[in-house]
Amino acid sequence: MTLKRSFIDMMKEDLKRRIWPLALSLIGFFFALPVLALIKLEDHINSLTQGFDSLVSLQRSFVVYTLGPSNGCAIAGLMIMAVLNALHGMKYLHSRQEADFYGSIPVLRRTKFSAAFINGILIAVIPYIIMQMLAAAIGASRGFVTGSGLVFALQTMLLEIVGFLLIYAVIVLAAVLTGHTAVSVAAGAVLSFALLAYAILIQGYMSTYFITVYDSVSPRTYFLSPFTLFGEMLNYKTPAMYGDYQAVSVYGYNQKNVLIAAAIIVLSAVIYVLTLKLISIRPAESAGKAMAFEKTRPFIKIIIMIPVAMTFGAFFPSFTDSRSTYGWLVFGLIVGLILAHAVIEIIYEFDFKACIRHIPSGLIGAIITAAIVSFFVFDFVGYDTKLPDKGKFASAAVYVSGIENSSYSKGYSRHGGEYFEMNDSEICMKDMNLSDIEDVYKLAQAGCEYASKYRWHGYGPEKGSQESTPGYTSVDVLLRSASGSEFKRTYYVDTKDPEIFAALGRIYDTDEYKTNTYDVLINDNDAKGSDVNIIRFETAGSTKTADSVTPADADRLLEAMKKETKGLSLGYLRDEAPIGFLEFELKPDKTLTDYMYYDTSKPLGYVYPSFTETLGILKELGMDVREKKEPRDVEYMMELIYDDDGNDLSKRIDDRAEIEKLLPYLVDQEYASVNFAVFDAVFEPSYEVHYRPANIREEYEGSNIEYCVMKAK
Amino acid sequence: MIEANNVTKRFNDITAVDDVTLSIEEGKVFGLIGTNGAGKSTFLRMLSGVLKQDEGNIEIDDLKVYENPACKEKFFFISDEAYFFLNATPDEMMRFYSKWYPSYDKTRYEKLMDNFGLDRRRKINTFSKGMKKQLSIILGLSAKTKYIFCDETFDGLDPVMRQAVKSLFASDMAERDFTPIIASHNLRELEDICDTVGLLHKGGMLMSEDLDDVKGDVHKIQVVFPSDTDSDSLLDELRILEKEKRGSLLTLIVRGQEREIKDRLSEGNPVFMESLPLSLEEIFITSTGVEGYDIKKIIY
Repeated sequence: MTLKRSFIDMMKEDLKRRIWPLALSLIGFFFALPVLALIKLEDHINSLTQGFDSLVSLQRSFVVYTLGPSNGCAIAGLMIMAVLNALHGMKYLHSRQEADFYGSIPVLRRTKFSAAFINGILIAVIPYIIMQMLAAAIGASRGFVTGSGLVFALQTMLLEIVGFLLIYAVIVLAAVLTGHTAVSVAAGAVLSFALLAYAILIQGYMSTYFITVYDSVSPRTYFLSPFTLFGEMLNYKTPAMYGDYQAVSVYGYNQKNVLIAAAIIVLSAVIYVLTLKLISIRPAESAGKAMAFEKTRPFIKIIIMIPVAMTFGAFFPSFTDSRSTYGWLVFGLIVGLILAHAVIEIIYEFDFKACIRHIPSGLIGAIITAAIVSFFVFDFVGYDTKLPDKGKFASAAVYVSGIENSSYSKGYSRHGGEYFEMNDSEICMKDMNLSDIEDVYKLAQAGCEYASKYRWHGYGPEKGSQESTPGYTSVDVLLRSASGSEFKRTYYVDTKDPEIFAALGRIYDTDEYKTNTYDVLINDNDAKGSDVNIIRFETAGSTKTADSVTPADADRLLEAMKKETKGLSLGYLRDEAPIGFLEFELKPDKTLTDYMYYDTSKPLGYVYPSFTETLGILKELGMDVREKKEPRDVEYMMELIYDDDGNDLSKRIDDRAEIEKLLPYLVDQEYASVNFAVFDAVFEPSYEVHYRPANIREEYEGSNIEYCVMKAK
Repeated sequence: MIEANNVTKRFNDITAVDDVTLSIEEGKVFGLIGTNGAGKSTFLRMLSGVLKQDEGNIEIDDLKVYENPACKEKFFFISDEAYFFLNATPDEMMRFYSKWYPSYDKTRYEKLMDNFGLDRRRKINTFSKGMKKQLSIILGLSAKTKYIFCDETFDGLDPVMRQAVKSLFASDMAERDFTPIIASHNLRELEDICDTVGLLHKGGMLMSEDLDDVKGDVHKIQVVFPSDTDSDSLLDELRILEKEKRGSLLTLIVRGQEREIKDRLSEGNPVFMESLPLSLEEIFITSTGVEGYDIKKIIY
């Protein structure tokens, strides 16, 4: 009998034994796709006839939510079928009777395995494809699925099948490594989530025990689990994901999706080949036991013991206020180690008394855990306190969170939305290349000194918060070597220190720093004057607009903003705060497709009292902008004072002379925080400025009270 | 010809089969005897390629067994707990097996099913334990393989069925090249069918011999001597393995040539002398007793 014939025959026979997963797959995908399509169809027809939504919007909605990546039911169905099919298909490995049966007939083990493996894929994928096509036909019947929508649905289908493959292959591997279906489930969970758990724990320990960790808002851990990778692969970067279905009629995935899919295919193939090798050496007598390969037992145990112990180690201290109570960390680690060791040994032997067996491998796990945790607690490598040799670095980048600290994300407005997923720090530093690293290194050294000082003082410094360490602010430092390797930390430095301030000032004055910090200075980020619809100037509590804007006015304003922003100095930012925020509102058809903005706003940046040219143009355009607060607009003020017990000792100021005296020094709290790293302000007492409603009310949105702090000078 | 050389199989700390060397000739019924845990099933599972031996090698007709479909086509293994697909009927099992065994004889299967009175379309999970055993044997015999390995297969069959199966084996052996290897803990079950018997104990092979050879060298003789005969002096010169006296009837199990033994006993002018057939139990007692084993503990 040829191998091919044998394989096909075995597939047919295996399929006969897998009727219920097939039925489950058909029923599940029937509800997840055609039935959902019918529900959406009815809903969309109603929306269309009642004029709630446009056809384009509904087409996109139908494709994305029924045939596309937002159909959570279909994705969940594929994930569930991946797990079920893998376990059901491989259960023959876990039964002694079946091991005898398949082991003695004239068929290679790998033939039986491959037949079961392929069938497990087909049982899920074929019903999924059929139901997807049915759902597409339902949508197309009423015009909700067009050509591009169909292509997008097809792309989604292929990507989802690829995502299914990896989960399926991982669970199959788990089933092959174990001898019992229940243990396979646990092993599948370990293989699927262990790396993710390690990554999360390491990040948690780093952020707990190191104080210079550079915190990225979106740690790239999605690739560590087949389940999260599945989701990431379908995470397509078009405006539709921001909810604007009107704006773009183009569907599609980008190169990243394709690369992830390709990587998943390769990884799945590697796992398949690995399991095929394992099948040929897998002892049949392991059927019914916990683990198929005796030699893997201590390794698996140690791999599980470490994260369990680290989780317990993090758990107990989380109830304390101080990191200095290391006793609870040790207690948690010991509890975790003992529990993990005992439970795993009990599962291995299916015997409660086995919990005290194989102590040596448990001790090895304990030693490794202790070494890992010690690495964080004692910082043996000087992660917080040591800097690599300055000579190793060719360039640097700096992000100071307290300079140009705006509420809008820079990710929307740079490089066509390419940086959307990055935080402001990552965006600013990505393209910044300061060739003179001397001052950056000086900041880093100061940060190391700060870390040395506070590492062993309990939980004292809450990462440079002003409450615990006044004057300190966080500075993200990125040092790059010529070879491209990066050294990235978040240091805490005292900006009141003249040397630090001077170093920071020299960095601030460089074109490289300013260009990458201020959006308005990025040339490829410019909005064309002809695309500008409205100019909007926001001040504390009010918004002024210029509606009839010529392209020349817009271009002139942009150039003035660029010139005056470039002219800012750190010394000026220490003494003055912005007086408003300037932005363009673009024409509706010049938004998502051309600029990749979330909405039609195109922020230019903060305007300072020194921006005379900018303010002049705004006035020319008929906007009533004011460089300073006018005493005539103020009805009265409140000086807000509270004692240590929280009792309100605030006092009202009605005296006009006092109001006139104080008003030039008051800064809106929001604008005071824009450059909080350097702006010299007195935060206590703070003030409420109550404007005269008759004079200024129409300019304010909601409230005529402005909350202010006092400039130091 | 099946040859196992220095075969050892361990399960963790337990040595289930310990350095077993064995040859099984074609055309004879081989009985593998031993108590529970003696290693019979493990040995048969290695013989059928289910388990891989840790040491030694096993060959069937000069072919390695493990992961070798060409070799596995030569035998059919009936496990002690035969596996049937969930909700399957005998016909479905037959169709499955017929795909893998090139000489599978569907006609014979149907005939045997009829003869045994088993419904071919009834779900197997409604069969009794004995019916399942019968079905396993029918499916195995219909595969028309050169060898059939039966692990405790006769256990659970009633005497009539047992005899019927033995007859089937005998007829297949007469008609074609067929060698059954039967493992059992019950010696009497194999008594009238085995040509060769291997005795496994605690993983080791105590003995493996052709029953005819054993029977040619050991004889069971009942004799009655006149009261004035000095039987003790007569018996001194014989290699008595076992002696039992009930009244004047003396039952002897003696090693040696039958003619010489009878000539010697005739010197005492016996009033009665007769040769009796040896049971398997007696053969084992005589063959292994000298090795210091309490055979009755081993085979029951």
